[in-house]
Amino acid sequence: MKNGSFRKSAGLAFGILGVLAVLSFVSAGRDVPLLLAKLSWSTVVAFLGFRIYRDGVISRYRAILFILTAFLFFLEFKFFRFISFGNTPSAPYCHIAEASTLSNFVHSQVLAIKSGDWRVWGVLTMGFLWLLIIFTIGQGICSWVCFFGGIDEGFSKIAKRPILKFKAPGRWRDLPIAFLIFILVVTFLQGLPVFCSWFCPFKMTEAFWAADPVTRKAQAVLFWSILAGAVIIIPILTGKRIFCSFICPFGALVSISGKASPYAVTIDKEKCSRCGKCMEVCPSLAVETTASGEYKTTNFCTRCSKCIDICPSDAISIFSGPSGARIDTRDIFIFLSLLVAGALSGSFVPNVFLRLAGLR
Amino acid sequence: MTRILLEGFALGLSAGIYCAGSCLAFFMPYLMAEGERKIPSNVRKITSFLAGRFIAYIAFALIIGLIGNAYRDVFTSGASHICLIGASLLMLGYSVANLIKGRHDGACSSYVSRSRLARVPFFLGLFTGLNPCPPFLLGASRILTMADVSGGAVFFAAFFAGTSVYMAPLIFVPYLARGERIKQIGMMVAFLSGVWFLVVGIAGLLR
Repeated sequence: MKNGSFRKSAGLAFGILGVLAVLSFVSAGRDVPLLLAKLSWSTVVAFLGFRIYRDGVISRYRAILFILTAFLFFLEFKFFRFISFGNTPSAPYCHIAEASTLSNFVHSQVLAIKSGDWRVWGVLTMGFLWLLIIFTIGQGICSWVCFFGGIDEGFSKIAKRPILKFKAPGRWRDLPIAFLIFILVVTFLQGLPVFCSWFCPFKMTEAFWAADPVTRKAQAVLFWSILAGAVIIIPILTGKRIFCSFICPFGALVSISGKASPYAVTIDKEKCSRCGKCMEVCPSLAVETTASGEYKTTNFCTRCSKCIDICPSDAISIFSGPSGARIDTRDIFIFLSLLVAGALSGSFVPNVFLRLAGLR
Repeated sequence: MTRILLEGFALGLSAGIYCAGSCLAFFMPYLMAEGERKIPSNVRKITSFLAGRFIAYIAFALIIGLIGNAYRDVFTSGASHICLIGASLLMLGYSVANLIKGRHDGACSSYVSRSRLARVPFFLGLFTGLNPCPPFLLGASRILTMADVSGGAVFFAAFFAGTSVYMAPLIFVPYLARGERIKQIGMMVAFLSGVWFLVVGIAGLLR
């Protein structure tokens, strides 16, 4: 990506800051320390946006925001639990749980809407907010916003170069879709959040641990195995986001529903030199080759933009529109993604700042 | 007799969605992988599956009617978990053979072509027929109060008819599952379901 002019970069960054500042004023109310913390965080997001536009490097600054947000998310909702002895905020709405209990979620939405009580809608329709985000930035949610994905990406970036080469898995890349279907059926059958109880390596609450000690031990074995294997060890060794690529049911749902988003990372066949660097660096294993040897991105592309940054022929960008009349829309996509990431992280990151400063 | 018929049918209709859900975990991945976009072919597979379920239902009703309440738990708990393990092993064998076949064509092709015969849905129906789901247990409790072997069989035949109504939409599953990629996903779902219910069945037996 080419460097942007100072004026354009600053203008877009001020646009991001302006929207986030309005949201900060609305949500902080008369709490001045919280308002200042929110404005500080909005400035950080806007500054990273400025660097993306100015330097023409997307993935580096995106990753800083993404991993930092994930780290602060766990600090707020998990770590402070241990040091504040119960005086912790309740776990936030989990979008991964929404995907794995989709059938039950849709049913609860129908009941909420039928009740005619907007207060019930307010809580339950968080799912619709996520859907709205999916329709806006599509799979970009997985590389710009998801607090859990940030942990996976953080570990995948520890080693400078991959210690183990991870070959493109072919048809096994569809495993998360199979896993999503399996989880939906079993959750419907058992009437329990099976993913949260058994497979989630990021359990935010202790509500999913079984009372029976034998079952609890089995859950713990699976929990530690997935956390250690899919989130920590294999990502460190391969540089790939293993949990996001092979287990996350939300990622699978987004890979299908995200098609509704107008933004897609596309490789220009004519400009492409077929060096294969995009496939090598893709942390989501979302670049494949066709029978004729052309490179193309798949539905699993999370718009992390690593391929855009590394492509020596400048053949990759974020485009919108039909293949005949594609428009390069990466500036708009980055603007929207930063806004969504800033708005959602702005609901908890300022609290972490205040806690660390001893003001909470 | 008409009252027993109606009672069994009504119970099947009211609780059948749950029964369909139980069978869905096994039969839907099979249809995703093996179904064709031809209604007669899909009807044959579903009929074969339903025939297996029907035999399981009637056999269960007759055995419970003959041996009475004393051995009820053996059938509603022990045998049902063994059947769950049987269905899981069948799905595991089927999916693993197909997944390996895709990788090393020829190695398992003779096994796969044999298992692809109509026997797979029949045995799936037979094993999943004896499912320890709440409506099934409710039906079992009802026939114990009848003290009539033939009445129990009629009740379960009607219960089977009521629950089978919910299986009809399965005819259209293969129409949604277009292409080789979806078939592979169906195979993976079959594998995951097989592993999960194998563990559930073994855990149920050990308890």
